[in-house]
Amino acid sequence: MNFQTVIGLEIHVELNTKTKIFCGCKNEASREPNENICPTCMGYPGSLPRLNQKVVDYALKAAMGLNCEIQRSTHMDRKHYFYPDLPKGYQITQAAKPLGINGQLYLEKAKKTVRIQRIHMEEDTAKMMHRKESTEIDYNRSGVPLIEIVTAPDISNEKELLEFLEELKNLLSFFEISDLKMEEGSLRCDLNINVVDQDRDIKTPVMEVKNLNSFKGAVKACLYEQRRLLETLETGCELTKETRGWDQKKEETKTLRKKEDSLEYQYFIEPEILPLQLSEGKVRNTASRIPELPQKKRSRFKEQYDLPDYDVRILTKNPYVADFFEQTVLVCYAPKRISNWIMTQLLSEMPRGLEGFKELPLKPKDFGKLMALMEGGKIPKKVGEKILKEIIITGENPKRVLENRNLGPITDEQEIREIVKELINKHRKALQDYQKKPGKTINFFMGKGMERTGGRLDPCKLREAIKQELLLINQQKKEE
Amino acid sequence: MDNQRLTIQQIQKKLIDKKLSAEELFKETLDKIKEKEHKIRAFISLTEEEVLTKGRALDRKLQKGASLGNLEGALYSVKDNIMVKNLKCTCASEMLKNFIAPYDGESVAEVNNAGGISLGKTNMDEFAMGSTTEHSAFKVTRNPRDYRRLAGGSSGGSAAAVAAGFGQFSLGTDTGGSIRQPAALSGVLGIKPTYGLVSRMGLVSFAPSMDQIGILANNAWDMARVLETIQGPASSKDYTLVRRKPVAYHRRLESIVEDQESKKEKLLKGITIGIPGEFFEIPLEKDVEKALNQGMERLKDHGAILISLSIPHFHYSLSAYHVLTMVEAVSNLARFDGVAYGNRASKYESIIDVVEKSRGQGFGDEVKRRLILGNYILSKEKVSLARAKRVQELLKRDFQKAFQQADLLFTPTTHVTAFKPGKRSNSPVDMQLLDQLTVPASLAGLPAVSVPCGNPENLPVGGQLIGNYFDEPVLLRGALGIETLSETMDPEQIKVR
Repeated sequence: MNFQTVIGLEIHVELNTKTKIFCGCKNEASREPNENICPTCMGYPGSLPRLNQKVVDYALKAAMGLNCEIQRSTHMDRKHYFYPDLPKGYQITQAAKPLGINGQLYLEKAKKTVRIQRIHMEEDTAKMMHRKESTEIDYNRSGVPLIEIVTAPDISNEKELLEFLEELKNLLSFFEISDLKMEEGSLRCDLNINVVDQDRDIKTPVMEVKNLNSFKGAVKACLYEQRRLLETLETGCELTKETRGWDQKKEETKTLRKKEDSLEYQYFIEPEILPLQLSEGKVRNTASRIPELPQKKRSRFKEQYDLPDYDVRILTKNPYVADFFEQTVLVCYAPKRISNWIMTQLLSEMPRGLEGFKELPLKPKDFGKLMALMEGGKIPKKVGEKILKEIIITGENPKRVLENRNLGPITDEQEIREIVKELINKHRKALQDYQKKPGKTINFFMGKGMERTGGRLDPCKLREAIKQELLLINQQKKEE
Repeated sequence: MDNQRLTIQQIQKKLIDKKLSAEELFKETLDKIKEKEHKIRAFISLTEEEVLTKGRALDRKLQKGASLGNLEGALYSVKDNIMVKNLKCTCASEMLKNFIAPYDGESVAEVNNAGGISLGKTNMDEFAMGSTTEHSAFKVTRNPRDYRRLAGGSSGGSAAAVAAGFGQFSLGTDTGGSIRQPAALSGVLGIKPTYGLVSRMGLVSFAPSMDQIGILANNAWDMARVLETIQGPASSKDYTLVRRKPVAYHRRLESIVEDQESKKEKLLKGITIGIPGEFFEIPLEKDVEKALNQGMERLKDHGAILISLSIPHFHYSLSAYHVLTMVEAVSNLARFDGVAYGNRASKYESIIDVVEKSRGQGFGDEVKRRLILGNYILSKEKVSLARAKRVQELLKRDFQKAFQQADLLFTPTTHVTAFKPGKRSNSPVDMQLLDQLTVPASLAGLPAVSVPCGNPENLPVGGQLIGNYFDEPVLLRGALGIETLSETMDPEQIKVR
């Protein structure tokens, strides 16, 4: 069978504005349920919404980043349905005139453009918590600003799906408008998928898959659903449009709602919020403040710093790591060394991974100084790593750490001699092989010496000292 | 003269001159309520206990010679669909029977800041849907001019309270005539300000694109004074408000009249008043027609020039109004689902069951009728919605043309005088016709006022003045011109046919 999978996405991004979309309540996670609430986000009678202009700014940035046409005159709509988590009986959203339309995102690996149909602003619903005997409602999330991004059905397989999600997250991270955490729900993705049998020219109905809480989950759900739909195509089983949920533990999707009883939302213009007019100035101003976006950054990094693709991808994952890299390079021009250190030594010390570059106590200036110390041969790698472990937490100047902690190189020959003597006394057994394999014995003591001093010994001088000392011992033995 | 018929300005003068104490004045009002409220039934909640205490505090303040706030000395009531903190806000519905307002509506807060003292919350048609106050879940309000008759609606409780002398003014709401029509039937003044002049914050929405808080009062002076107080506060949370400089409506009137008692012949000099023919094509009751002619004479006496003109799309306005408001009502009443507040059914099996039963039990017939029709339009008749919007645009254009020729328009407020219970509420169409003369200004968002005109010995008749956007100063001047002198309006002196 010659088949084609067709995937479109609906992505919800929680915006990290200080306050909610229609009231002055704080937009942040709270310890207790129902801490950040007021009559407006509770949908109390007599309350009125007020559109947070920051939400418009944030949505505008995202729309521009995705190359959308901006609709200058737009408005909010009401989408009606009854559900306990929807306090007003309608959601304030944009239906008829979304802020952005006809955008696109290019996938470099798939060499494909995915069209963005629309980006619009809307409010989040409250959260329901199901207990044994009852369901409780937490209105903290009610009125949290969202943007919804809807793609055309341009994605054909799980690889493209993953690349799209990664690319989108990568892009949005540069606007700093959201935490973008899928596990925490600040980035949510619904999959619309169907399979077309090109030989017989038949296709399955579209399945909407919800509750995907990681990129991995999205890929697995995509493969699962694709297989399920293919099987039904082969067996000729009849299907109807459905909304399905991904069960992360069982790794399967199951029916949430058949689309036959799909809701009629009875949209109409929100009369309590005046229509929105985006001035030429505002649009231009936002456009001028759009940062360099990942794809452009990647090609520049590649050219300017002569780095391999792999390094470039990681260094442009978010604006914080990209800035950190570039500012470090300004202090010490050693792009590849810096890139390596960021990807290995630095990242291994950062529990939050690349995200951690946002609030790193270590400043690129100091990291650059450390790189310069190594670049100039002043300290060996081992010492550098030791210093890094300290300054990544304290944000101290690496030179000062080097001086204060006795981490400087030991170059005094007498001192090295003493250390070597001590080591030989400690490891007399190692001398037995000296006649047969002198190189091995020397290397053994080299290692012990470095270990003892944390790599601070000048390797040439150490080797010299070991050789001489071993020779001496050997001579003494012969004399005996 | 009855103290209850004084303007707020006159009350304040008496208080300052120590010819009257606030306690005394308030006591008179409370006695009147005690005497008549059981027949009129204007209130859903009464807060009389606090009134005398507040009166004594005001007297102490006066003893110290402190200056008075804009509304100090005035008692007022609030329609039960506007929030007054810690009081029930029922909207005359089982749905909100026990709902306690967690905050003050902005207009209520402004009145309180200016020293107004609240008597309580007034009866209305459930969720302001209706034109007779018979659709209250709790009681039917009677007309103080004739207890056998109704006070009109939906702000019937407010109109009756003011007409009965229960305080100087009442805050009502007007979506299609709900202030002007009961004002006309009860013989008081009622103003619906320009849409966007007074904050709707704290008003339980019925159709927010037309809902407007306004004032019922016994004279144009008090109306001006209250409007001055409640006009869009700078700190308003209502972002549909038109932000503009506050206007001193009372002083504007004063500057024209200089002396309230004399020189009235100059009051409307240079003002052109248009008489839109279409409004008079409606068959009017004889008394209404007669009273209106007297009203026109009065306007001319004050120096106004009357011209006839046309509002061509007038006859489409009632249908358009009902389509638009029913659709908005569907949406605005969706929040009453029994989840977070309001009536929740005692027995239910699922969430859908909670919503269905809570709403089924909580809403009355008129509300249900409009919700069903509104839903029908939204799902099957979207064409009607588009047409209604078109009518709204055409009407706006008609009015703009009219205001190129005239400063104000004069029309009847209703085609009938006060009627008895059951007469119109049994037929939805009959009831809707009560609004046919008031909805055009609502659709256009224009300010309009109903003023008693004609012979005060008969049942009251209201003349309606419609002004251009934010032209309330001229509208109030016109109202003052028609206004029958307040002392002759005492219901005690009216002989009922």
